Amino acid sequence: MTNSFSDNFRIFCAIVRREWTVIKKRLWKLIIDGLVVMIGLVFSFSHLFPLLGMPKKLIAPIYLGNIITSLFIMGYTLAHRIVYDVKDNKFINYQMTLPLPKRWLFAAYVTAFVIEFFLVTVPLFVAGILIIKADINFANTSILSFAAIYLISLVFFALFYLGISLFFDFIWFRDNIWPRLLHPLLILSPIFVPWKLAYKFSPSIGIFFLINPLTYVVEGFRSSLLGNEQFINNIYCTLVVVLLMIPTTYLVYRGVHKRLDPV
Amino acid sequence: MHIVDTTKVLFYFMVRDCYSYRNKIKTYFLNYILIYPPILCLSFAYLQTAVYFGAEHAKTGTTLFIGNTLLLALFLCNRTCMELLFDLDGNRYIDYQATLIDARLILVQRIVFAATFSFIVLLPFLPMSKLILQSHFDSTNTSWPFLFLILYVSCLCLASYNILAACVLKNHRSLSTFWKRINTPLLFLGGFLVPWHIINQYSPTLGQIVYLNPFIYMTEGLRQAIIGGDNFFSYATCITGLLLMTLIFTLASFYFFKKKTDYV
Repeated sequence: MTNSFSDNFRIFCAIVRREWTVIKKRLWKLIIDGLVVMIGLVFSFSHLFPLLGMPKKLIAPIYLGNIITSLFIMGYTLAHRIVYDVKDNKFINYQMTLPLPKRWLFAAYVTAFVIEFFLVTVPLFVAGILIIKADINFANTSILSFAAIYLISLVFFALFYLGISLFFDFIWFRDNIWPRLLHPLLILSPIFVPWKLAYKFSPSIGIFFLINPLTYVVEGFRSSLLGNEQFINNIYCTLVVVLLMIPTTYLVYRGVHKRLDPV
Repeated sequence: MHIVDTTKVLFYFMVRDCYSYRNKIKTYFLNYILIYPPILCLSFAYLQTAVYFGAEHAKTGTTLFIGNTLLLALFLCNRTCMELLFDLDGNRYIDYQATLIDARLILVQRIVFAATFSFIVLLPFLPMSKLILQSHFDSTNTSWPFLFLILYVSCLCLASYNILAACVLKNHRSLSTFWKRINTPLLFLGGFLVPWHIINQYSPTLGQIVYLNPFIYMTEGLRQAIIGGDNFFSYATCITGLLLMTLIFTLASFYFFKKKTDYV
């Protein structure tokens, strides 16, 4: 027996609704957690680093990099939950017995992740801007471009974290995910240094950074909010992030087959 | 129990911990010696320093880079000490151990093991970084014996801090909140990114408050041992601060452990 589109959509909505109930319960906790990390980063880079000699013009681009760092840490928390669920609670196994194609089920997971990312990062953006308002200039902001790269990046992060949480087993995830995957991705990206400045200082480092997906996310944020001149063009960044969803979707697919053994 | 028997039991517990970690040592060495030093050197000491402060700032770059040792030591001690929290949530092997010797001694043994293990894994980190960074790592005034002494005392302090956290936290689900709400502010105000004199320059009141942060004694001690000079705390201040914090954390962990497990 196969379900119609409307049946699938109804079950999909029920799963997202259930996730929404869970999100509502922990939303404040997540916002406070995110704010603590965000304030620590923004305070260090906007108030303390200039005392060491960092130019003030770098504060705004680094702040946007810090937003990605907060997203990255938050994504890990979400992935952690899935990893524990696959290992202990196995609620995901129950959901896989629902009369719903697997792609719909995982689309519901991605949707819930995106909602959670969105609700937590919006207050972070506002709080960060309030802290550094004197050092950020919105004269070249393109709201539409920013909304596009922002939403696409959230979907990319949701797919990426869902993929790694299903692909790696619990022990490997616990011991190695930060040193072998997340930290190299975060540190070897232009999060703390705008890409064009990194390229100017060392072209080989600049080219090396282009392999990293985070380069396009962070540079897309920067160019859409601060203007295209000093950063990689936002249209190019948006396109690359869209393309990067193909390997991350494949990672989810591989993870489902590797860890969950769907029939 | 006679003191010799107690020492023997403690020794066997230590051997048991070494045995359970012997398979993980390769993973830890790979992660902390082969992966972290090159990426942290490239980002913090090389690229960020050059872009933020200009290419000829080896000293500032080294100051910035040293904070990373704190982060790695905290990761390692946390990973090792939180076995206690997982144990208290699950099998409660420690209950069996507490029937053999005083539970306080078991906590001390775990602190010493976690500190020693983290110290051994971290030992090559700074020499490796010097090898990678060459002239970008300012080691002209480095005192290697003091560096290793500060590193070991720091590991002791971080291990006791994490054992205390394991005794205070409700369960392993609280770990994420512990990292974000407690460790993150302590890291940022503990010299992870900038030294104490910059925090004090920004706000002398904040500078005074930071004296209560145990992490500052570690980063300042490492900076004193590597760079030297009047900008950082003296060795005596750092070692005294770290040992005092270790004592406070250990005594507090005895109290909270007793509350949690109600051992006799």
